[in-house]
Amino acid sequence: MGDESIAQRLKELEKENRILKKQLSRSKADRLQLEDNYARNGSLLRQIIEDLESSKLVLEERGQALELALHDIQRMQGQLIESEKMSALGVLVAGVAHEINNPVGFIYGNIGHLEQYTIALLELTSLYEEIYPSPHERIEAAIEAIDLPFLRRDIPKVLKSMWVGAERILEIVKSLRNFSRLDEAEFKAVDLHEGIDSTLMILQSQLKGSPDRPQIEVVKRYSALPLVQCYPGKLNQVFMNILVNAIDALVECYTHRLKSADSTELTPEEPMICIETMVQGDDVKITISDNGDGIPLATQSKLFDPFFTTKEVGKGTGLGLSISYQIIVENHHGKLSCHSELSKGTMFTIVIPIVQKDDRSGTKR
Amino acid sequence: MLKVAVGHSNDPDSEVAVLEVIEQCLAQCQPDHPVIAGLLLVAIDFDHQFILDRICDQFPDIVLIGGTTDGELSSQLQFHQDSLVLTLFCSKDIQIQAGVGRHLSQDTLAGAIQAITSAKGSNPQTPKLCLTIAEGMGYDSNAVVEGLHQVLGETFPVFGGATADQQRFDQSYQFFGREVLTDAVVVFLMYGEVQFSCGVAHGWQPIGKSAQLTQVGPNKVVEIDDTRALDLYDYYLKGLRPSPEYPLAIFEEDGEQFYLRSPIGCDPTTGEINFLTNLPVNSKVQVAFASRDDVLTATQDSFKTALDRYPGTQSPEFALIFSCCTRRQILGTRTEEECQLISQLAPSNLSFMGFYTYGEIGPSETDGPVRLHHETFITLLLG
Repeated sequence: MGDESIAQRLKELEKENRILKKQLSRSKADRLQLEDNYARNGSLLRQIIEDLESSKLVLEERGQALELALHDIQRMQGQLIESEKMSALGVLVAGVAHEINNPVGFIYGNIGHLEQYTIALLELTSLYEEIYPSPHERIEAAIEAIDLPFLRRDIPKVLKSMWVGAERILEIVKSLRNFSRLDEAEFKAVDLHEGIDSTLMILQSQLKGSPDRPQIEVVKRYSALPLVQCYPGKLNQVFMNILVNAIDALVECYTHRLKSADSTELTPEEPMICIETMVQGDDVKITISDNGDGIPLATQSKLFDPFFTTKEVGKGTGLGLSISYQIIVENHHGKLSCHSELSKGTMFTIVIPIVQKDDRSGTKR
Repeated sequence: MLKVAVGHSNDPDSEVAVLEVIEQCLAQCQPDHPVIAGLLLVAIDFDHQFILDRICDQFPDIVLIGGTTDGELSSQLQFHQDSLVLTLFCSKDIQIQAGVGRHLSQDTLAGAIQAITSAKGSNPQTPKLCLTIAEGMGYDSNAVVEGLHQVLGETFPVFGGATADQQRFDQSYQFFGREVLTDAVVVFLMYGEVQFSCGVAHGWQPIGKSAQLTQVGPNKVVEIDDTRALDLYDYYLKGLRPSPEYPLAIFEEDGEQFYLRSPIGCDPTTGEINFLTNLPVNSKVQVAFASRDDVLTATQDSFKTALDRYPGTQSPEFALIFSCCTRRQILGTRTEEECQLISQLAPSNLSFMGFYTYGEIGPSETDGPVRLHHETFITLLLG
């Protein structure tokens, strides 16, 4: 290796040495900077993770709140629809009752006159027969044609049946008006038995028997009840909901038992609804029970949930008992419970205070 | 036509280094393309006066500007710290005029205006492009850009960087001819058929809670959300001091767009955080974060954008890079990858030089008005 190349190599080594020295002097500072940055990075990421976890919790809580809100909205929407439906039914019932009331009034009011006039005419024919025992042959033929003796016997019966029919119509109209309670939406003291009876009257056609099943017997065990402060229209809605459920249960149960009886040659039990009322301290207690199939335990816990129904699609909204629960518990500060045993039947118990304390009713009076 | 010659030496010895870069440049110069200007980027520890004198002795007829850096990169030696890189601009039909503005800390606007005015001189032509190297510390660097706007117009293309001192935050230098300056801004105005395009990207993402700058001072933030400014950083850094790796994302008034400002220190007793610029009061801010991959992705995005937007049919001759010093700090041993990405993406024979800065000057979001950036990678392609 010549002097020149040695000098060149020396020059290169000196340069490398200078660069390495510079890099060495910088390396410690770089390392410290790196360590600082690492520490900052760690802190930042830990905090961000904590923040994310908090955000997640907040979001979960918000999600749950939204779910509850949605559930409430759905419930309220359903109740509103149901309430509108009931309100419309009330208006319809009240309208029908009003429209029937007047013509029935004419009929009922004139039956008495008709009876008097008819009796007078019959008396006149008797007097005529007495004075003219041998009438003209044309009159004799007419008497024979109309079978006057039969008319004399039947007319009082016809009139009596008209009295019964008109009175029945009046009773129905009264029940319809009582049920609709359009004029009694306010909080007031009423006879609960009237409300129950009106509801039963409305449901009369459903209680009647058919070729497929016997009549549903309604047993009333009413105690003497004082007037109870309540919203009568709303309470009637509760009676209606529970009674309709009982009738549906009994119809289904009877059909089911009838099929079983066919195979086992046993006669199914007669369907029956029993309504019992009593005073219990400061409250009144009304029980409505049926001897249907009963409700499975798993279903019992959901009975008062909005939109829960065991009926076929289109036959039930699942809101009847939910609304009933709200009416009894929130509007009347009472209790609504259900006790059921499979194959024995179901009993709903309503307990409400006889007198509502001021400002306790859940709805603005 | 623009031609360049790039010399780069990593020898810490000033005399050797300047000789090496002059030799490299001379080897690339062609007789039919006269050398008209030089851009010099040097690490802080060199003998700057000696280097300037040697270059001016060698090329007495050129205009020369430059400054100190946080790291240098070029197509010759890729990335280095403690190195010296010189680019000579050679052309018959392009003119480059240089200017200087001084005493920025006393009157920044006047200094910026002085730099442009002196560069223009009596030339009646309209310049095509402005390159600038400005002091990086000791005043509100935003104001330099405002001064340049005032003379050149808000949308006039200005590209540049702020000089650095390897994050000692003590003293950086600007070069103008044989002069080693501080507190100054130097500019090149380019005239003639200069083709250029640019790309701007940073890669940072806002992270954590949003806050508002409720009290600011000169180059500092006093309160954020009506509490000590430092509390925002303490929440995340648990008592560690804010550093440029965790800049503040400053959101524009219209919503999602943001730019970055790097904290360079703080006063734990008052809770104030120091920055290299003033920050706009009432702005919405968030601490921002970037990984090394994010930083490199931005490098790639910036360079690709510039390439895609380069006008004409010919390839660019030269790329000038301005990259924030914090990017280098985060990248660490991967800093070289910035150069490697450029080399991979660049057309063959593209020369480039650049430096790690205390502030990057260029358009906002590639197209918008020119502004001062931090944490950003700006690519300027010239031809």
